Amino acid sequence: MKFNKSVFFIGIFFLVIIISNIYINKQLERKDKEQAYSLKKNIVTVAPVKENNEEVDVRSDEYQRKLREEMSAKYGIVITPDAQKPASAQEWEENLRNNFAQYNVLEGENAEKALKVMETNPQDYDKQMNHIDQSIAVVSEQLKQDPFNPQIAEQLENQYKLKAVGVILKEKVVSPDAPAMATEIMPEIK
Amino acid sequence: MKRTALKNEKGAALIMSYFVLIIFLVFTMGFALANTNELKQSTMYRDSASSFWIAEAGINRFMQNTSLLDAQNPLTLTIGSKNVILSKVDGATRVVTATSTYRGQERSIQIEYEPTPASIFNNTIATGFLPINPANTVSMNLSGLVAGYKVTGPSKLSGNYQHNGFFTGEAFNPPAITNVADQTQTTIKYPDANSSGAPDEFNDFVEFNRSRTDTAYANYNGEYSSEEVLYIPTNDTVNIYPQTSLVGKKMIFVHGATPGAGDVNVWFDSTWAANQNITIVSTGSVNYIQPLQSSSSNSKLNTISWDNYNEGAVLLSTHSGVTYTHASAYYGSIASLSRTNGNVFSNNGINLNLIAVWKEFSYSNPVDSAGNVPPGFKGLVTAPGAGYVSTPSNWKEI
Repeated sequence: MKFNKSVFFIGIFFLVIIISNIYINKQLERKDKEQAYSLKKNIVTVAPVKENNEEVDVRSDEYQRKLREEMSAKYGIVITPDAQKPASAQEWEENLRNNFAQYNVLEGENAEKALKVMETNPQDYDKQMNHIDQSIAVVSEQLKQDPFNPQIAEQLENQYKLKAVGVILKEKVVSPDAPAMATEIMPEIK
Repeated sequence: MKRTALKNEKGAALIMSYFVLIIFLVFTMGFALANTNELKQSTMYRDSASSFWIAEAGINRFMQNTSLLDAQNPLTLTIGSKNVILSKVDGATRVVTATSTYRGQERSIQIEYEPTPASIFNNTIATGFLPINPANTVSMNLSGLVAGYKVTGPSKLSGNYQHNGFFTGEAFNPPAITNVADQTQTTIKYPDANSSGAPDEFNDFVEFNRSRTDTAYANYNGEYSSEEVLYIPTNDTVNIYPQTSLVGKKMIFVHGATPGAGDVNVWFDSTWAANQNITIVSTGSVNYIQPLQSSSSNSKLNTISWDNYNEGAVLLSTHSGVTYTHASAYYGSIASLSRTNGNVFSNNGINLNLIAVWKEFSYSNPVDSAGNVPPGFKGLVTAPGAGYVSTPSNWKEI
């Protein structure tokens, strides 16, 4: 087989061109990579957004019913719709008695310690309950004169709550042996 | 003839010359391309560096004046002939971003500021004006019968204090600082949590608290774990009794759809347990009935309400914690000795209604040894621009 110089040189020629092109391309790619490292590109950071395909209507009756059940069962938290809110001291007392019993509010070692701090004698207790009764009478009169004042209505509701709590606590904290004045036991809880 | 012509080697030099010439030409073109690319990279690098330093200059402008974005956020600053856009987000931390674009090269720098307890936390009582006539005159009002109150620790009032009724009075030790013209010293505001451009709106209150308590919410910030928070979306009244299942909770947020909806009644305490620090937040009012946390239990029950705060007690009561209301605080019909160890912050004044009793407010530092305020108070501000340290804790390019 005879060596053909022309074919050889033509082959070399194309080979050099291909190698040159590859070399230049490699060089350009390397530069691009360097640029990516050295120059900050425009990066938009977006906080991760949780997918929530099922939009829950937390104000729906169904959701609220489940919420009431869950809060009551797990945490003893009672959610009362406005329409079912107690409207007098007696109703509050009944409502609280049920809830205190259902959730063991006044039971247990820690509760006993707390009730001990509140301990009072019958005279002081009667005096303080009389004050609440007087307040209820005064605020009720104010509400009659200004029946649409939400501030007064709120105040009266809070008086009812206090009265109800006072009545319920009577069996737990009133004792003839209790200090005459609450101030006497204050140093103990400092 | 043809075979002879192909066989001789005349003209080979010419072909070789062309061949060498073409090789040189290809190399020349290659190097020319490489150099052009190099020049392009250098120009981009130069423009990018310019952009970076313009952004850095913008950051420095903010560090020099941290109230720069209070009036307008975001803000475009011109530095030399270049522009930089500054923006900030006040949340659990303050994040300030400076972005500059120069000849198509954008660079952004971000710095972060840790929150700091506002100086208002140094007070036993800090309060704005009560919504009574004449307007903007009275901050604390006592009505009652043979009754009074005592405040131990610093107090700052936007207006005065007054008492009425039979044989009533008050005592401040040290004397209260009254008629404080600067509301930022007496009231607490919510930052622009929903980025609407206006701080201290109801929606800021909701966003701020929801992002800390609603674990299913897209913007939940994870400050507290799901075991430590409770999110209750309801317009009804929520009654919280002492329960062991609430031990370890940090925040409970009752979210009513409108301002004033979602009231909360807190009866006695939340747990009866020791070493608790829980904050109950409501878009409505918080009614604390017969508070009773023995201070020996080292527990705090803090409350935050968009609407009024009401407290009443028929028997001896003690309460430890921070009380903050965006509206007014009412101590209604406290009929026995009542003591608050902590702080009361009421943007719209404090009203006391006492009968034959003495109410005591004593200062207790709400900031713990690690510098943390109670849950739900971190990031609250007394004024736009306040509530964060003056030196950034973190720098990064984004």
